[in-house]
Amino acid sequence: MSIPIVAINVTLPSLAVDAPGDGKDGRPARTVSQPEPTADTRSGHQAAPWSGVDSFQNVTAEESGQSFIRQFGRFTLHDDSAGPDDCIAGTTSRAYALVRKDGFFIGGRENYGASQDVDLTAYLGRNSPSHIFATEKSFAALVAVGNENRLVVWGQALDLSEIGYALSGIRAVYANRHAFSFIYRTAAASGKWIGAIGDAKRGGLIPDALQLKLATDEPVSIRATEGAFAVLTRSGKVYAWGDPAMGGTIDPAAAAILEGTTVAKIFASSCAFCAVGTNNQPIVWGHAGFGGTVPPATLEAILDDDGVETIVAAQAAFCCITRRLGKAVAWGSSKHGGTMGDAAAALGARGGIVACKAAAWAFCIINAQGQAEAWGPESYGGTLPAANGMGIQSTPETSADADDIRVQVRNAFIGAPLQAPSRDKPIGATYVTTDWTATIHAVDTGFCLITTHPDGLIRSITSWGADSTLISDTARQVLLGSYLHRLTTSNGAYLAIVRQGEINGCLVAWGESAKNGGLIPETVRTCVQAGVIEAHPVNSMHSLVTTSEDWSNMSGFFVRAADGSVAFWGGGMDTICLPPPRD
Amino acid sequence: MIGHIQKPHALPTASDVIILGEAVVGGTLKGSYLYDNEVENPEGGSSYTWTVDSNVVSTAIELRVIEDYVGKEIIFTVTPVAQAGEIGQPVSSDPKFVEVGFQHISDEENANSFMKQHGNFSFYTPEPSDRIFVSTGGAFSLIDGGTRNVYVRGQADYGAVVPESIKTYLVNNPASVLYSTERDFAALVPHGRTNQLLVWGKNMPVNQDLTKWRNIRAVYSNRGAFAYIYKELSSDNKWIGAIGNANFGGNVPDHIHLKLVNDPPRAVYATLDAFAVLTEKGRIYAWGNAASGGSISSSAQALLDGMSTRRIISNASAFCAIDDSGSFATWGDADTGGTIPADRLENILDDGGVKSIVAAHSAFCAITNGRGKAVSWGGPDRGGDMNAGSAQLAARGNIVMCKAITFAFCLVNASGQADAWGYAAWGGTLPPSGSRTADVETGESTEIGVQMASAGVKDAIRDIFLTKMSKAGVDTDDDPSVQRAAQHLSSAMDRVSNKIIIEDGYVSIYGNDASFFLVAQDEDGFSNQILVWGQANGGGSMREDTRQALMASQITSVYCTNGAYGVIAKQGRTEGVVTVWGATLADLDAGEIPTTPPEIAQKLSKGIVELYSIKRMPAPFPQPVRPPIDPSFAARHTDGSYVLWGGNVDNQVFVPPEHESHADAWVSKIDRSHVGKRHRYT
Repeated sequence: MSIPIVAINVTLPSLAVDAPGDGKDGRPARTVSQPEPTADTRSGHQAAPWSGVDSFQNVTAEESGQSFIRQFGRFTLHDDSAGPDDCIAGTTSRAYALVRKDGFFIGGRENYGASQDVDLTAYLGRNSPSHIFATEKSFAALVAVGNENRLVVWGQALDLSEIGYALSGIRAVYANRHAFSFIYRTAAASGKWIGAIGDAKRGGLIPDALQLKLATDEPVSIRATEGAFAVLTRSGKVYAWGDPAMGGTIDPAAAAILEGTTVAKIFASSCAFCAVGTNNQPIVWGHAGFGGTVPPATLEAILDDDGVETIVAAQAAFCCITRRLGKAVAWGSSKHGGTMGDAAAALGARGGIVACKAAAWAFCIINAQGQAEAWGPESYGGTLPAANGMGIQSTPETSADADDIRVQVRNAFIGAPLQAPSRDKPIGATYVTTDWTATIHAVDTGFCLITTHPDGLIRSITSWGADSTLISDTARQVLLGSYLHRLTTSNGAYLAIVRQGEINGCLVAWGESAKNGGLIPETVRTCVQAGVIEAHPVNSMHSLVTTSEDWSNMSGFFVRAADGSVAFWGGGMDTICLPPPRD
Repeated sequence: MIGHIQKPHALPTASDVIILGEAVVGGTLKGSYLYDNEVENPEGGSSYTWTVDSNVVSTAIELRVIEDYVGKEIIFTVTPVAQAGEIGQPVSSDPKFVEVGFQHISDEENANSFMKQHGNFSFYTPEPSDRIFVSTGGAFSLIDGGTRNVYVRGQADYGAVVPESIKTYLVNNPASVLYSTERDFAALVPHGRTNQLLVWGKNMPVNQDLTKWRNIRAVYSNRGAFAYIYKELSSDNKWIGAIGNANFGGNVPDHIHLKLVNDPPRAVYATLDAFAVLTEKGRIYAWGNAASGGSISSSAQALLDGMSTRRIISNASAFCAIDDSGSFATWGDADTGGTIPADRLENILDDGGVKSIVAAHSAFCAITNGRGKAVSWGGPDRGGDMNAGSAQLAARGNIVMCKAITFAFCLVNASGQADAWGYAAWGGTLPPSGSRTADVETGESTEIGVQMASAGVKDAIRDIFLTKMSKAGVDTDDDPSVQRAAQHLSSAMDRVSNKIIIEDGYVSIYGNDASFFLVAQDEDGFSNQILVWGQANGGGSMREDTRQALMASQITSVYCTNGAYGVIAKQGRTEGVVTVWGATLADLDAGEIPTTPPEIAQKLSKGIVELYSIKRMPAPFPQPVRPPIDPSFAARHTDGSYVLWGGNVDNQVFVPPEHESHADAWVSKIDRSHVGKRHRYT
């Protein structure tokens, strides 16, 4: 059976094409227009972290949430609890764009898409965009014009004179770091099914040969690495374009396997793709140092256990949970999560993994008994501190060896069924039991496991990783008495939206405060006191050569309250607060 | 032999009966069969019948396809007869359906384009359409009815070297269809339920992926590349493809493939080094040399987008598209007709648009729908600009004939008034009066120039038309009556080309590099008038005895080389007599029948069914003296032999050998590096 999916925005003629038969019971119709390639096997998911939909533009929450760059077209690298729900606001790495009933607002750094063009903002204020999309430094807004729609783009690295594709009649929009790509509702007059705009070498230019493949096998959805795109077709074929070192070229060996495979899902690290066939086989391509090749022994281990259950991507590595026994194996850059430590490998080999989460360069897995392991650089969350070590923080109510993170996690899992319940949703960052729900959140350099009661009351908080990311005692105390609504992470800080007492939409932040928004500025507290409904990360992309010492990337948050007030703060950005619109 | 008992002769039987050649108007088919018991019971006088929609039309081994057969089915039947007199059972071939045009390109488009558009390297006058003999610019291939093999001969760098891997395909595969560029061949060979295109020659890739070249419906060519259309959309979503030199259009851009997925191609047209594909919906996409029509200018594209193109005419480096309403658009080299001056465009559009377009090498001439006016554009001294006389004639309208040669055009209106323009020394003038023919035996006959061209042509053409008017009851002394009759004739014609069927016969104008040949015939084919003009030693003059002979003949077909003409005629009861004139053997051309070996003249005096040519690429620019050029003729005799003579063959009677004995037989030993030297095949 199919569970109807809450509409993103039922007023959107552009993206929301109602599926026949939905909405009969009064619930809103699903918003995706294309049948998903594996719709039958996926129906019924209500996957965290997205609150409202299990897929957007035919990309499942599983694929989006477990790829290094989120796959909903807004250049998000971290936990964005709103997911694609909140289409009327978006952020680049240093700017935001917002549709509000009193106009269109852009703020932040000009060279990151905060256009000062008054004609543009006036136009978008009069023709409210239905969706906002973003790359690292530019925005795109989908505007209804007559019976059609148009994509309006602005920002850095967009040479509008080079536009080679019609920007109207668009069904779905996707983004990587440097370019947008989109799928038309029907093939354009040129015969092209898809288009792109942005850095031509990084996805802004689509080979005609690829368009030709789509002519009789129409595109369903698009996935992104940092500088390439991959399009999935109705028949389960995959074609890529963009930077060859970022997955834009499918090597002949992978192409040969893809030729004989019906692809169901695609996950992406920052420079490699991992497709999963309906036969559950993984097929990887892209930069070998980013997981673009899988060692034969690892592949064999996956295939020996009935193939892929799911894939979780870090920046330069993949972790695969297998289907039959729920084992975990990883590959990719050995210094960035591609090689498991002995303890992690042993836990992974025993199987029964129920939750897996990636930080930038590290992974964490937990089995049904609450046994947890992590791997990757220690300062990036790749080590679970044993006792009295660095970064031991917070405990659930019952605790022995309170400083031992493994013990904390096991305690958090007390009462878990001995065997994992039969899954009705993919393995990912969230594990649901009848008594509580556990979700692993991550920033670039650390993890935070939060369990909640069914009513949302926070039951436990366990964090590890870089010191600056660990939860403070104050925040922990506050949160243990709060009901969690949503949680968003920047590169180095966490922002929870909670209910405190009878007050909805209260903000609690922790983590790195100097550059990553871990401290909510006083002006923000004054402006947006409560009633926050959405929080978006404003995140940065960094390279693998960055070390924690010269951690130069900065990030922050953008929040929106029910009354329309918004706030924007973080590293490298002036704090901005907009009071609610006047009625 | 002890115990051997003489068995009675088995009845003669024939099997594997097929029709050789393409069933297209303007060619001659040949019946081919295997006589099964030659050893025991040798073949005697087997009998043949050709039926067209069940009506017997011939009892010869060959059949010339005429317009009456269009849309009908041709069947060849053989009744085997042994020397001993036994008569076997008749056996029939599969039927062949006679189509208009070839591969969806009409005869009009083919005739009116400068380079011929039927996938066979040729100019001026189309080759016989049967495709039994196909030539590049320096080699030929032929399908022999006896051995059923394909034979290739000629210059090595013009496609005569057949790769070993391809030779076996050409043995006993008589249903193969051959195509050519200037220096390459392509053979479409039946292969089980599909077919296989094989290519070889100077512009062809060496490491070929043959799997791409299967299931092909049509093949087209330009000077250095082939383009083809699949029978159905290929597995990689392509309807078409190209092979050959990339500078000539050997690669089809993917954006064109993309357009064709949902609007399949109808035909592919060619300039010398570019292609244009016309779709079922009347859209056009071009590729190849951008300067020669391989890219469509934005202004032309805007026009084309508003048209549903049905016809395309090309010259050497530009295309012109026409739709059913008379709208047209041109693109390609702006100096040779790729753009049309605004005043001339207006002139055409104000008179109902285009009825027909005729192309010279570097110019176009349009005949309008309204009053039948003529408007030319393109290279000014290459036919793009009319001289005063032509402009007068063109403006008065009622044009009913138009023929282009390399750098000149000729027009005739419905009252028989004629004129020519273009490069004067290459047929671009039509002298008004004087002696009708020049005598090539006189001392100055080899001089180049208008003064030696035939004179009196204008008057003679006028006589032809006025005579016909008289026969139709028009008072030719009454100008208004003549004018009315002319208007009536002109308005009744929906196309203008080099032929007109009028009253009790027909008038045709042929051309080669630098001369014209006009013949008026009655409905039985007897000549009423023979006229030549243009370059005197390039076909523009004719000996009086030649003219006398032709006037007494029934001309069945006319062909040309670059500088000579060849005519097949019936003289009295003798069929298949060849007459030639124009550039001589000493000029390295074929306008003269060699005296040695003597069997050449003997063969050409009877039994020739078709005349093919091996034309050279014409010069790109006019020069006072036509540069040395060495084409040849090949006459197909009903006995299966070929008579070869001219500039680039050894004058000989070629009998396809039973076995291709050694590799050398495939390759000419001729060294082509010395220009002006006389060259021979084999």
